[in-house]
Amino acid sequence: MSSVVIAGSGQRGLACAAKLAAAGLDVTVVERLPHPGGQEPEREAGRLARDARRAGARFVLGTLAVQYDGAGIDVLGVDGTGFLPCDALIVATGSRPATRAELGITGDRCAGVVPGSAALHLTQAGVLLGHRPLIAGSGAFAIHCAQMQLAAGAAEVTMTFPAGMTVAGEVPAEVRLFAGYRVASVHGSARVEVAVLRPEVEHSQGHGNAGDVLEDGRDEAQRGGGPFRITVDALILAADMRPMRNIEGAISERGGVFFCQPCGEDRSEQAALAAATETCRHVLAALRPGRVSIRGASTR
Amino acid sequence: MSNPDSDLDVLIIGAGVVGSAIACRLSEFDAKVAVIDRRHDIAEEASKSNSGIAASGWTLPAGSLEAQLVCASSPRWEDVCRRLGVPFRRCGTVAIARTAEDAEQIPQLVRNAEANGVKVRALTPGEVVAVAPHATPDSAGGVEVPAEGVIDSIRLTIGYGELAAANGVHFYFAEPLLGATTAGDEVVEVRTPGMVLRPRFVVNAAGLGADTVSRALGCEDFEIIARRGEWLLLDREFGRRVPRILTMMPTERTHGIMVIPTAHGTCLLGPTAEDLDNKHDRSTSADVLAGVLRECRTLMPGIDERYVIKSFSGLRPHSERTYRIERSALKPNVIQAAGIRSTGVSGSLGIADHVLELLHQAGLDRPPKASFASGLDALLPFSEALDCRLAAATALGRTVVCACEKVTAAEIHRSLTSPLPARSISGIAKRTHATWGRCQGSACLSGVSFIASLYLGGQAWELPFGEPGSTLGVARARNV
Repeated sequence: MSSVVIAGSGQRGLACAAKLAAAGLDVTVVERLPHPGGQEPEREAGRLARDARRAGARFVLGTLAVQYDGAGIDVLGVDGTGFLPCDALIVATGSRPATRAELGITGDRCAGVVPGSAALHLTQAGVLLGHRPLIAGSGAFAIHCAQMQLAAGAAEVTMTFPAGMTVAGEVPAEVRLFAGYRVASVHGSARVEVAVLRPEVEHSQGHGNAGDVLEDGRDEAQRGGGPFRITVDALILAADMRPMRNIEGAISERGGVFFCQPCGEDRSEQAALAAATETCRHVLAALRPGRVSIRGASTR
Repeated sequence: MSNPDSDLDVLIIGAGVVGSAIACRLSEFDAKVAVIDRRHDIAEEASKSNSGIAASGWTLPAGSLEAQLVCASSPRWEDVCRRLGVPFRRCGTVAIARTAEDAEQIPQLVRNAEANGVKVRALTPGEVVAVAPHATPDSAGGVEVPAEGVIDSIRLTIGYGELAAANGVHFYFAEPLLGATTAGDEVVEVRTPGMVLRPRFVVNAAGLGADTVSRALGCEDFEIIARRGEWLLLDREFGRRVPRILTMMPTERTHGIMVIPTAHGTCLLGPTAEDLDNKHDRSTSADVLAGVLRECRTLMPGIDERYVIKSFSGLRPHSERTYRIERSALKPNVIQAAGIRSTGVSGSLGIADHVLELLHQAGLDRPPKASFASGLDALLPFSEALDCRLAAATALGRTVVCACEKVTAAEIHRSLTSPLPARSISGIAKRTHATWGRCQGSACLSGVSFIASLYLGGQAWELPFGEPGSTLGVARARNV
């Protein structure tokens, strides 16, 4: 029987597990945390996990998929180290916001620049990240970050996002919006004190410095479409969700590896199920050639 | 901070790679040694953000003190790194002639290397790509230097410091030199915010601050200029395509931009060289970083910027005179170890031996310590362990905190309880690489902060990233 290891037990991982186990494959779900569900609400995850178990999938919880070598994965977890041989690996480890480097934010490496996912956890754990946080991003995740900072006691929350992006939901009225800008750089000695916002069109001229930049960007008329500084005490990176990939040997496309991860902002169960169905089709086509008809042969 | 027993045999000013290597060497003797540093942790300035190259010395002026000390250090890395638990790999360098004019320098460089006792080989363009398949096929030739290696220079500095501390050397952080009292032509007393120390000998290993320290001690007047280098760090997924260091043909001023595999399997591109008016500006800029990419692509085509996981800059201490390592002519109980611009890591073992000799000449006469521990009881990180089962022998060793860098809770525990423990989030990252991987802490920063707060105490929002004031948050959050 062909065996499949699924790394990650969010909506996508669990849906893949249920489908492939039901199709008769030997399925093992490896989850880093001690419980299945990933970032999903508990009730939903419980139902999906039950479906997968009922179909015959095994769960290895509290365990990290460390490395893929083409024949299986090395794992490290509560039961120690191990090797799970597999004919296919599905990477369903979810998504994360783009990093500072991926967003091209230069300047000082000061404290107060925090990935959005970490920001949510820290705020829930009682850390107010800034009185005047700037949130980079416009998606549902960025809006959630903005709401959380307001609820946690931030005095003034600002959101900024590049031209062409639209706000994916209801932004609280208190939030100041700078549409059509990217965060070019941050500056500060110990903690971040200033962010330079630059209109996207200017970026193509290749300026990332805080050179001829308006001192205060509050007055829209003064800005006149050029770069400007704003005073901030935190920058929360919540833009441009990217697939989270941390299994060595399964970072880029290669034979035997199938990626099933959110691209962009659609986090609905419907989108997850559609993606899982697509991934399973590719896996089955690869493992049982001739028995399933599919169109297109991409490993995506 | 409680005042230690203030009479010392040797006070070292500066806990970078040079000061820590000297402390480690001196800890072999039955001497009272202390290290003070203005920053909150060991390896906070030039030692934190350099190339990570363990150089062979092949390009250094033959006969110079720098060449002598770097060449003396180079063969010893395998042994030292094993004892200190420091990642090291002798991967070799290929210096690439990009033009016919570059290639004309090759015979002279080969002669210089031979004079320094470093084995090198001149390469034809065909041999360049045979030795370094990732290098540009359009070179005009090159030089292969098999003895060059890559080292985790932060862990090396920390390893020196931990071994010194385990052998009785005291480290005092956030204790900048405030002033000194002299009697006759000797420094007799040194003051910091928290301490008054009475050392028999003082070693100035203050790196970027060595000029200020020298003046405060009443010693020679010289100037250290901060030379900024900007760097790009690329993912291991790209790093595996970079088996060797690629450099341009070195000039007198600089080695130029390099493509460097790191001891951790990632890849570094840089550095630039820009002399600053101040010693604090560690900012990066988009233009300069774009230039780094452009230059590196002349050495290695196909560098894909999508693999960049971090950009940063470091300041190296540049001065008119390099390797000012000598007894001060004005205060003979002060040993200068200053002006060590770019080979501080590579020369650290030789520098420490040389400073010890200078101290002996100056009258330090302590016997070797009977109980000297020559190696660290280092926990081998999971990602570096040959036998992963050993690393996973404990419950903490089976709990991965940072999934990108495969850092376990055992490693984070050790970083916070070692002989020279982390006192900040960046201190944990320097020792373990947690939060330093491809997701840059998006998955583990909160977990690392939570663990750190258990050890460091105080409110979670006050946890320092690095220096005082660099707090994680600004206040306690309302319940959300």
